[in-house]
Amino acid sequence: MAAQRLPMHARLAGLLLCSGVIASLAAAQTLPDYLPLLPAIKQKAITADPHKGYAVKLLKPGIYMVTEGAYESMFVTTGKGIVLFDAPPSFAGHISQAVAETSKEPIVELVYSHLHVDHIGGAGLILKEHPGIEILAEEGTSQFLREMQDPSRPVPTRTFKDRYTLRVGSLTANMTLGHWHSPEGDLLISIPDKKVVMAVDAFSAGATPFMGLDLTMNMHEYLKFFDQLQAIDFDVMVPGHHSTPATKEDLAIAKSYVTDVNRTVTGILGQDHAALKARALQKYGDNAWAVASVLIQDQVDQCAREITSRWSARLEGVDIWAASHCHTALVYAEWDVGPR
Amino acid sequence: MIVKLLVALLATAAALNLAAADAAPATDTSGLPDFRPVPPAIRSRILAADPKKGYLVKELKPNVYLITDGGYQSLFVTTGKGVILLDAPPSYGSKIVSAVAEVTREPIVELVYSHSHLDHISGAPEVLKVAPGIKILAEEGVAAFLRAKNDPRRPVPTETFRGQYTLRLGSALIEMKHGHWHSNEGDLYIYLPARKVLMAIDTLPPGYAQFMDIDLTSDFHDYLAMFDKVLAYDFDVLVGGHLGFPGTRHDVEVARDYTLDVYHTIKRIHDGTDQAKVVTQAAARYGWDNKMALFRALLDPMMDECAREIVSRWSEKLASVDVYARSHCHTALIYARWDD
Repeated sequence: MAAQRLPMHARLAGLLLCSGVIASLAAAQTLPDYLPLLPAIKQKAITADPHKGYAVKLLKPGIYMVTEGAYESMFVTTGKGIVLFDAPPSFAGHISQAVAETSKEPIVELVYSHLHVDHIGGAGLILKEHPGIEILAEEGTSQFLREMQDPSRPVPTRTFKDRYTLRVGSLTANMTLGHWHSPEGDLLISIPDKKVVMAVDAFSAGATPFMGLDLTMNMHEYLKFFDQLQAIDFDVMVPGHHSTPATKEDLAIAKSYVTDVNRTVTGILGQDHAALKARALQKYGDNAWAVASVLIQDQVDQCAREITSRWSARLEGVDIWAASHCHTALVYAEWDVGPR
Repeated sequence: MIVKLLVALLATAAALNLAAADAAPATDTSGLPDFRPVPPAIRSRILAADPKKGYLVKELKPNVYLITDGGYQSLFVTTGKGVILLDAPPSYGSKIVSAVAEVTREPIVELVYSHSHLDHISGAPEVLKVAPGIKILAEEGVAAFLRAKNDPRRPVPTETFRGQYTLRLGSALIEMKHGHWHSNEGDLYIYLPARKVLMAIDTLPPGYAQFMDIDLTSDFHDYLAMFDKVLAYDFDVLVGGHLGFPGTRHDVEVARDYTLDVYHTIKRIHDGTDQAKVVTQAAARYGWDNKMALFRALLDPMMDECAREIVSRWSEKLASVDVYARSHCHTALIYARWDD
């Protein structure tokens, strides 16, 4: 409600941030400095029509991406109804209108890429507008949603285990379960005859991954994801965030960034930290967690400085998230991989 | 290298029981942050390792022995038909055989892996050097990961099971059940019903707030569910795998209450934040298109506020709350915002 008095951008942001508008934090926070956005990347962004609040982009014949500037979903016309992939709550209220702009076909099926609220929390609304549509998800996601009983994420009507080929009219979409992001699993969705793929929350075009390497809960699988995607013959990808579809070149850049973070932190772990360790022991004594924490903080900071210096001119968000990315890679390098 | 370093320093710190920060000189030139000292009531529970040997063997119950170096914990069980080792942390991996020989003449015949992480099982090769040909038992998820890794520091299990298994040897009966509170590949509840001893590694360090990121959990949903599962066992000794002493049922209840407080606190702050307002203020500084910066401006103050509350409520009850409270709020925020 309060959001309606704010300018369009604020409403958008409020929605994209799924706001629960009740109280306010202490306003006088001093905000840190971040580098400005890169002009070359800004240029590629698809801007939503400020009056409508969204943009529809034709990716390939019959395949469309919808975005409000921060999230992306996809829909496909099949001759036998529209298949919708994801329903982010930030623009779910506009999806029916976006579809109607391009096709007279009704929405007949909704696919969940994974269970996170920010990508499928508009599904309750879609189902209300289009009662009786099928909702398809992988079994791990379905199980979690059955447990949650969340009306904004209705329980799927159809599930499959590990892999499935969805055929509706002219559409053939191959879906394979992955584990690069959420504990319950993610879908790698490929439309082979159109060379389009959708794989949400692995990386973005032109920007670094979000906090915690796109919040991955499984760094081991996340690192494998880039080669798995590379092996698929595609030329357009819907990554789920920002407003730009990705290309194979974006994938190569993202892989190179993540590989650099991983190598950098591994190299730092292999260095001699005895001097800092001695100082920390002197100061904290038997407070073992304190000793460990200053060592880890020092390693993360060093990694973030290196990554920021190498990548700030190539991707957006490097100075914002590099430390968080280094942290995620450090946990993997130290506890799962260990010293070599 | 750093694993060894950390392990060594954790052990040294605890074993030497050094005078802690409360005794630090007034002129602190370390350049390191201040943390509260370990509360005396918790410090007095620490089982001091013999500084010459570098470890301690303690009989917890008849036939059930704890080995600890102050940083790590493992168990072994005498059965009349040979010794079963439960974990082999590398921090004292070369000393496990002599630790066993201190209390029994039985040979080591079997080793169980609690989970796949190096810091709890990569002392295995040291054990195999002296006791070649022993059985190594692990749950199938862990075994599959170790087969894929083919890492000489973590020999591939010779026996595996799926879900649950009862190990019977001589006088010992050990019930094992698969869980998912910590590592991606799965964790084990290891229970000795006749002795009321439960081993559940990386659930909680008794007396202390958890390690970074809520003991590095990769699945906070299952981590939260873990407390009731632990408390459903009839046990009076819990071996959590870390720091200076085993825990009681009360320690589990305290850790549960701490974790729930972190979760409810960050959820209340998150849901009560006027997100549109915070983002609008941040946009005045960063611009509407720097969405990553807007996200940080939104999330950082939530975690700061959560950490302040948690530190103020828990620092007297648990050690090291101020070291990792913000990290714990971070883990719970990801769950509250994206999964919940």
